[in-house]
Amino acid sequence: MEGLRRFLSRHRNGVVFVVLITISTIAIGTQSQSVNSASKHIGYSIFASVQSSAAEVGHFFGNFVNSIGELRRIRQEYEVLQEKVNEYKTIERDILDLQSENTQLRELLDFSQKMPLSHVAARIIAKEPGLLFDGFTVNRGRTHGITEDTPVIAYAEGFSSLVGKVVEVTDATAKVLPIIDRSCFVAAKMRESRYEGLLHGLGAADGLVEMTYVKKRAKNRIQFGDLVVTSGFRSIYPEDLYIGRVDAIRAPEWESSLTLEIRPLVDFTRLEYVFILLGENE
Amino acid sequence: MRKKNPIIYGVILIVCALLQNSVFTSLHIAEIRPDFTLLLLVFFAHQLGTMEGKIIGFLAGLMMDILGMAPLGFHSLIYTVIGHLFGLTRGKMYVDSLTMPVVFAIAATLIVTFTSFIIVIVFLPLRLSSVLSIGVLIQIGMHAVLAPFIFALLRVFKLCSEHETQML
Repeated sequence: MEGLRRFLSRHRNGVVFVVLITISTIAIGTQSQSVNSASKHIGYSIFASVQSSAAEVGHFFGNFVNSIGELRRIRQEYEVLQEKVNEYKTIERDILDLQSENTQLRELLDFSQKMPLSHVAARIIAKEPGLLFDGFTVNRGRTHGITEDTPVIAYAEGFSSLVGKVVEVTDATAKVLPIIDRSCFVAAKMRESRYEGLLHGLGAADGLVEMTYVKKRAKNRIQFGDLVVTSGFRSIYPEDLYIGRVDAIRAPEWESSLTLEIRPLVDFTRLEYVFILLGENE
Repeated sequence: MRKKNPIIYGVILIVCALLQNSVFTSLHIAEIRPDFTLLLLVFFAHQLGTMEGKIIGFLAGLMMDILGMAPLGFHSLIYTVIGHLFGLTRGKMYVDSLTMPVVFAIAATLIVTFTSFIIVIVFLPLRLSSVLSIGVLIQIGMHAVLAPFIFALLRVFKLCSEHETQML
């Protein structure tokens, strides 16, 4: 007995090794399902909940780490989508612009087709930058049959409205003097009452034209908003082209005639396309 | 040399064995998973010596057998052998930061393969191709790559000490 104890004490390391190996070997060797599965089952039932908890914790942290990556991915996607949204917004604006332009051009085309006078459609390509002069340039010139003093009209509020006249022509372009310019004079009349007068511009700053030499007795027959048209009397402008509506009526005591302020039908600040009249349609 | 507390190492190893089966399952290359418990056991056994090495190896192996599909005794036998063998290196080898961890990892994987091979031949009705496959090479590569990092990590947590090993 003493010898065995001394042996175990001296070879403790080896004995433990042999014991452990033996236990393992026996465990493997006794693969008879009942014994092995029973012992495994006992151990497994003890540690399964621990394993499950560990897996849950691991799953939680795994999800947390994944969610960080997911967040980064979502942020990148968000930025990409934001860029796309901005792109689409730009496209939408372009489409709206195109729709608006399309509508405008359709109206112009319709107007052009119904117009009894021979004409050339032109696009404004330049405008006077200063405040003193109010002319603009169109992209049609001598080669298109345009000459000086040719009347220029536009489509406004459903009417063929007077814009001005051509004052200078090159082969490809023409300068137009609008009716709002101070140096532009037009023989005009009231559309309803037929009272005549002389119309001239007050400058682009006001955007108005003034009609003078209207007989005083017309005062009671002129209303605000009445339409003013070209008279066509000894004029370069054809008769009955719309000019504008009465905005103000002045009747000074010391003058023998009325002075009317007329707001042109054409909005000169937004004018893009005009028609240059060439003469009567055949 | 001041001896470390083997219980701490044993607990860490058993926890690692537990986590390996449940948490680290997503870490794999071609369905070959690194055996973190084995790598830890190698370094722990080297730190603790044969007696503690084989005991914590046996316990960790037992945990893996209980939680895994292997028959009871399979991992406990293998890890006992690993714990014993690498415990023998305690104080006899200088473990640097790179080379020796890689050598240890490769050697441990080969020993595991060899021991598994023997166990399969003797006890288990498995095909030998399941033990000796290309997966062994992949696992050796993985262990060789991971070993220096794990060793460095253990040093950070003062579970492995290069200096103490060198002193012996």
